[in-house]
Amino acid sequence: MAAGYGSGSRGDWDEARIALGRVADILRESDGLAREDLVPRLQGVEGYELIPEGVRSTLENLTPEEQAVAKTLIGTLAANHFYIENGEGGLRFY
Amino acid sequence: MAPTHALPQSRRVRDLLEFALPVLRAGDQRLLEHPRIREVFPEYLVLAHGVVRASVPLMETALAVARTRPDEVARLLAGYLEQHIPEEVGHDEWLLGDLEFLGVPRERVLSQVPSAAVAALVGSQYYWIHHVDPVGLLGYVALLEGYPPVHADVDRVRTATGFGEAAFRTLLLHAELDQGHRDELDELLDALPLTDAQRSLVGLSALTSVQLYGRAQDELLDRYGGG
Repeated sequence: MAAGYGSGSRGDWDEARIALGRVADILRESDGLAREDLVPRLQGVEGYELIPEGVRSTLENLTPEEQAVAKTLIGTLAANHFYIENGEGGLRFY
Repeated sequence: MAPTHALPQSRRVRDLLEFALPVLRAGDQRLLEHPRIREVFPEYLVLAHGVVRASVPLMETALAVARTRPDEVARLLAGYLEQHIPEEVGHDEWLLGDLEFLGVPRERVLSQVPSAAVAALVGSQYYWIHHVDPVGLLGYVALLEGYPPVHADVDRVRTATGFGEAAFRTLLLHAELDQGHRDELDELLDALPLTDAQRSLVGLSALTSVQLYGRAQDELLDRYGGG
């Protein structure tokens, strides 16, 4: 990733992955949001601030068309136990 | 928090790709850990050949369509492609040579029907070129040329397979060449006066390319079990 996970402890890392799973929920439940609607929804996600800034910026700038692909990609990452995988964190699988 | 249009386009495309690239890295890791890597790796090259052999025809198609459009983006895109296409000619032949070294005859490679995922990866670009805007191809090019194999990764595969260096000539050449190609593409992306729709298309093209290449990798690895 371009953005590091900074000073986060292992616990923060898991929480960040769980928060990214919640982001995937928002993308899945919506049908492509305009930026002015997307950003407040994302910023309301529990633990959102634990996701690295570079990833948050990328998420907040996704166009509606890109959101449709991004939710699939996040699901693939989760299925591969990679990047946002469950570990001990309790992220549900898609 | 910078809005989409405030970011240099090259930075935006790289951010999107780096967000998505772990999908492909997961496939690479599965390959490296695969108990049948000596059987799987040649098929990895066959998959890559299925993609690479379409690169020049895709760019030629985008060039032909760009030349029919009157806008500045199309003019700049055409100029880039005119320069870049000759640099990509013959790379599919390099891969065929590497495969022949591994005992895979070119006739076998050329007669094999590529997977639906490979067809979707390349075919989606034809759709966008013909029916939307040829500038979308730059998202695909950003993926394929923006993240060349690094020598350390190639060495890991060599060690894991025990294959000689001749099997890795194409990968190693791309490790050398693609950095320059990436810089040229980034320069173009930042010079293009893209509309919002064009910006979104380039991003969609990049993300979709990761998704479909990842699917093609997964289907191949699944066929061999394990990993």
